[in-house]
Amino acid sequence: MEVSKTGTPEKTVARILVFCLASLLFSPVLAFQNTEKLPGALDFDPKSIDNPHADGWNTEVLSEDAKKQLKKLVHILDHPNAMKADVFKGLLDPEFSTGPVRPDGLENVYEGGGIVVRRPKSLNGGQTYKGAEGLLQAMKALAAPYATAPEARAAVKLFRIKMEDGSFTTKSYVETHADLDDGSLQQNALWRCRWRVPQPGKKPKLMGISLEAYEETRVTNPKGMLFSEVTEAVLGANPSFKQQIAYGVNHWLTRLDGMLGLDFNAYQGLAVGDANGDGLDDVYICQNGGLPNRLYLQNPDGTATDVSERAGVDWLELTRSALFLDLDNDGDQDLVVAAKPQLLFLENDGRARFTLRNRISAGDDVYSITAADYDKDRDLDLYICNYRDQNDLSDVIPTPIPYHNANNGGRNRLLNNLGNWKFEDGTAAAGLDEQNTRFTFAASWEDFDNDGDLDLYVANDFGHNNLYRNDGGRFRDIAPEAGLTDSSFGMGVTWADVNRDGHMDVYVSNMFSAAGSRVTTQEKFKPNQNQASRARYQRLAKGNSLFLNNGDGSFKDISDEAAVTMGRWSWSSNFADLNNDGWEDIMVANGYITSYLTADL
Amino acid sequence: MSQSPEEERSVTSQDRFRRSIRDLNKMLRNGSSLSGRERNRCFLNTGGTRFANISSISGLDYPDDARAVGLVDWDGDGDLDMWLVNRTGPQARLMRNNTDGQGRYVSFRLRSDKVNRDGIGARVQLTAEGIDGIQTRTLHAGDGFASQTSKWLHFGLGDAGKITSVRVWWPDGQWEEFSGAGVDARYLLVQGSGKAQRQTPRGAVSLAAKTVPAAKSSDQARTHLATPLQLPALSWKTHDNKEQALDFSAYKGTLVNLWASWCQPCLKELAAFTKGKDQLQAAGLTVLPLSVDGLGDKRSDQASALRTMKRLRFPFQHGLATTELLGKLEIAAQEVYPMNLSLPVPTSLLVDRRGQLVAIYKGPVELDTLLADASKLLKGNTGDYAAAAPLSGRAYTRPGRRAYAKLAQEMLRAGFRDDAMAYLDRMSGMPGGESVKSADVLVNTGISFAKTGEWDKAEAQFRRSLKLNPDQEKAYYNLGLVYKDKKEWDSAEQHLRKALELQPDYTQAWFGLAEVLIGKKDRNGALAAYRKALEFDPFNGRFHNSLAIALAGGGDMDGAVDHFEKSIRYRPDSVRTRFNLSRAYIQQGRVADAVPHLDAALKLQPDMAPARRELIWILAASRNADLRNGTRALELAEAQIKQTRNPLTLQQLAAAQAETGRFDAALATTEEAIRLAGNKDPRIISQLRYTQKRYQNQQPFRHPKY
Repeated sequence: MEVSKTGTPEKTVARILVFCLASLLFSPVLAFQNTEKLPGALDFDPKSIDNPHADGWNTEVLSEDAKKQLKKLVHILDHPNAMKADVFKGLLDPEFSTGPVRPDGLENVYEGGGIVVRRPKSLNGGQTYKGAEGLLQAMKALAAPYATAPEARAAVKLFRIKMEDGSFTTKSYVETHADLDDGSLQQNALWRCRWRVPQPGKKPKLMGISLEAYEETRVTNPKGMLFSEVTEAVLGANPSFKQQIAYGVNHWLTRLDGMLGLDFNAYQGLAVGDANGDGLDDVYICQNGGLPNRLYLQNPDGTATDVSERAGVDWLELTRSALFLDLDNDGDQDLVVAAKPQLLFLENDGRARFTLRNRISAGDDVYSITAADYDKDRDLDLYICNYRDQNDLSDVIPTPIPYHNANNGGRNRLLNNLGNWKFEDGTAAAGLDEQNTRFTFAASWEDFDNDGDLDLYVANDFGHNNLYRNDGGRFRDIAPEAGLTDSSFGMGVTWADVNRDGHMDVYVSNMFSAAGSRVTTQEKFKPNQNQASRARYQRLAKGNSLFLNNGDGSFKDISDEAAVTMGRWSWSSNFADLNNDGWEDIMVANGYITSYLTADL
Repeated sequence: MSQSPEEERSVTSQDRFRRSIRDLNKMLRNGSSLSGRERNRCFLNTGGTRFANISSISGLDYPDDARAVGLVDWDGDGDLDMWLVNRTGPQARLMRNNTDGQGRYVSFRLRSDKVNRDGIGARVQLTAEGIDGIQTRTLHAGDGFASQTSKWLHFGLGDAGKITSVRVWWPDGQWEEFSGAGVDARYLLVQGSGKAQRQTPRGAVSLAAKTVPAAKSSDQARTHLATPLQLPALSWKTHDNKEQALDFSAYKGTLVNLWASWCQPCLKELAAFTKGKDQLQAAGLTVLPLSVDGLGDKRSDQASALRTMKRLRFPFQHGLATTELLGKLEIAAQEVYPMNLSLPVPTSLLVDRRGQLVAIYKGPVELDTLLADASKLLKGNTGDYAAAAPLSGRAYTRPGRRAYAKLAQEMLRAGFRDDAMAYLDRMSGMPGGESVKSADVLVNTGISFAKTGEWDKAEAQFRRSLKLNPDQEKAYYNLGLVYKDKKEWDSAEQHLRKALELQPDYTQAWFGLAEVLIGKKDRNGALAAYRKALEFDPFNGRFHNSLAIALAGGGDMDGAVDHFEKSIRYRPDSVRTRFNLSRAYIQQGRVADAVPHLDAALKLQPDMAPARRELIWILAASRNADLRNGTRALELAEAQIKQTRNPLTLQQLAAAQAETGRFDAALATTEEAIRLAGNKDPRIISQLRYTQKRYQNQQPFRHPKY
């Protein structure tokens, strides 16, 4: 192969890079590794981790194959006007039959703010379709609303598998979506599929589909969807947008020194507030170690201007979160920045010029911070979520012990505002050191018992969450009594009154894991443990939780009936009325690490 | 059954967790995804306790590794827009809400002189015509995850034409009714005023919609290190293959340039260095191009590198890279970058007089960039944000001293033990956490010495490691094994017990202790230690096997059989245990039970001599007719005789021949056996004489033990 002389330097380097995979680096390094092999942990074979064929869960092999088959099936919806039965070759058992996959008799169950939700009166009944031709008819009926759409998008998430005699069943979320002339439409289904167990090396064949849930949601809007992106219109004129914000962290991970505090996982947050007092909200975007945090001030035309340097807030230290708060009650928005390793307290002069007034150490691994006047002394106090403490020595995180209820994480801090930019650690005095060494990602204040003071919900990774009830400035963890321990991988929390009964309800971000759900519901998963213990593990993978406030100090877990568990690997969840109908909706920001390789672990 | 020094296996759930996290991180650092490409979710409240999935039609379902959410009516049109902050690019998106008047709204900002100024923690309750129940909002400051939304409290009102009540519950406990609020407007609620003050905002603005893709990353990069990195000992080769130590001390800065003769950008870059000779020299710099031609690649060879240099009339010293040099530089680069992607050619490394790596240039480096970076070569060991950050900003800290434990570990793993030790030497005086990490690497270094049989050096590393961190069960364990190997039983026992004191469920240490106690002839102690190991790791086949051997040695054959059987359950492929079990069965007279295990052992390892020997006796000479199979015995005995011809194998062959009725052959074989045995072993001679008589009487041999 020749390296082009006319290529731009970048392209040429890129091509050479490909050559070098073979020549420069891989071979010598591999050769060295072979010269001496250390045992145990240092040996490493990626395939041994992510290959379901190797890990002994043969249900995982079947799931993997069944998922591939299902994908083949639903992806005929990608082109709803060109569906042919030959896609089903090798997919169906000779006995295959199904009822309608789009039920008859859909009725409007909700209409408001430009959105219509339709659900069937009954999931059962209707025609029976047999064989490939039958399935094609059923799928055509499903795709009927997409008749005018050139393409649609379908996705499958297989989250349960159960072995039976000679056959097995799976449960999957099947979602489809397409843009229509006057808006867009989404179909959400839960399919229970029956499969014949194949001969070794062969793919399972589908015997039947039954619907366990179905709904269609439609937004009628000339702009297509409920939201449209306007980032470039607002930020595009700023050099920092193109040089910094437009790049993902993967870009920086291969070109900056990790000693800058560059965090692989990039847990960056933001704060919205009116920094210059002009009545328009502005935004402060936290940035990874080595990259300056950015303050964009909104202009009257809706665009925003980067004033980070002039404002004195372009901190380079790794920053996960920040808050706009009037800490000195002088009528402007001061700024607290969790710029590792300390919290920075910056006073606003009212015109978005900030002066560093104090720096305070409040934990070695701070994630979210949240403010309230918990002691009613008229100034704002801070609660600092600290995931782990420095004295732990492992590269990643300390081993959570026990895994489903770990209590060896970092100590969260309550910083009591003493005025004049002074704060003291009031954690112990307020009783908040109870159950306070969890792996905390987030917390939120709310007066859940309507007694006039703010209580605190704390979302913890690896186990129990806390609900600290405020009794006149003294707190007690009453999560177990209130039914709010929600033992899972807590990553975010948001409060709202979802049913307008005057009592605040709470939604918690966790992790939905399809693989985890499949594996932990197998009989051979931890067979020696009792049902309660197995249930705890199943809970870990189940997903997000919605707890309805009963108004008597207790909560009811309505996650399943409310259909809000599948939030994937969730970070911030936020209640907000997104379509102005008077009901609080839920936004879930999710996803962990998207990298260069497409294979996901 | 001896034990080699090694790291402890995954003996506890903690180990397993740490191990899996470590493996996972390694895969991530190499570019794998984990729950990546997930799309945001959005749930629409359809009336209180039931939600509908509107993720796709919301337009919010980017697969962005999203982290944070900031709600704000940015464009002032009466619905909530949304900032999203992401891990992937773009790291921020502003999403405009298109509800645009399809539902009414009102929003409030709070102000107080009696509680905190913004009324954080206050609650607003609202009723409106056509909206059942009460809408309640609390003003939060920080919720979700690492997110803060606007302080404007936004209420959707559907079709409501009229607001019937607005009440604020202030943090001081005061309830206050506000009058004057209407739909589709914004109000300021000042505590004590009782009247909503209409705010006249700027009015709605129009913003163009467009999906922003992530900016594309190029492979070219300048990386100025935040803290210099001490390079390991490096060497290169002259064009006539003489090895040279890389010495940086003669110049203020050395640019080590890795290039290849087939790489056009490399040639252009070298030409630029040639042209810039005077400037480089004036700046105290030298360039050392090291060619990678011919290394793991057949496109070009070393000669082409020299030809190219001559053609360029390159003014500085130049030579050839070695695989060792590349390997070490690769490890150094991995220490710098949180994500490992291979270095391209050309890659250049700027190194100061002390051998500290200051900057890495992936792809060609401009002369100006190089001169600028060289002009601020750092004097101290500590780092500097300003030089390393790609965009300007302020910092209140300095990047810390570089810790070398990880680098030492990587060097050790790659086989550069001396470099690993040199890095460990640099670590003294580092903060607690780092010295503990060093201690860990020292143990691994010790293990590496132990594996090459350098016991004294191994012992020294373990001891040094314990000085840094006395709470290391792993170091005590490995020291115990060193003494065990030297048969210094008391010291071995003492160190293993110390390891167990620190970690009572350290199964490998219990196992090691058992073997030491066997060495000390303390059988009961050994049995107890084996049992302890099994208590924590009941499914370990190796432990069961060793315990069984110890039990058999003490005459407890039933116990031995029990544990051999367990061992096989967890380790069905162990030929040795299969053999052990069959021997135990035979000793108990359970010959029939032995057969399947001997078969299995031979299936796994067809030439396993002792198993074959046992099986031949059973097939040829068992007293149980059901177990005998002359033909198969003969096959095995003939295979055996091809490998070993001695009185015993001949004796077995004769027995098999007799069992198949070939008594003449059996007699001939027996005679040969007697001849071979000579006078050396009277016992076998007498056995052979006995069988000879039987064969003469046309009687096959029946072995009393089988």
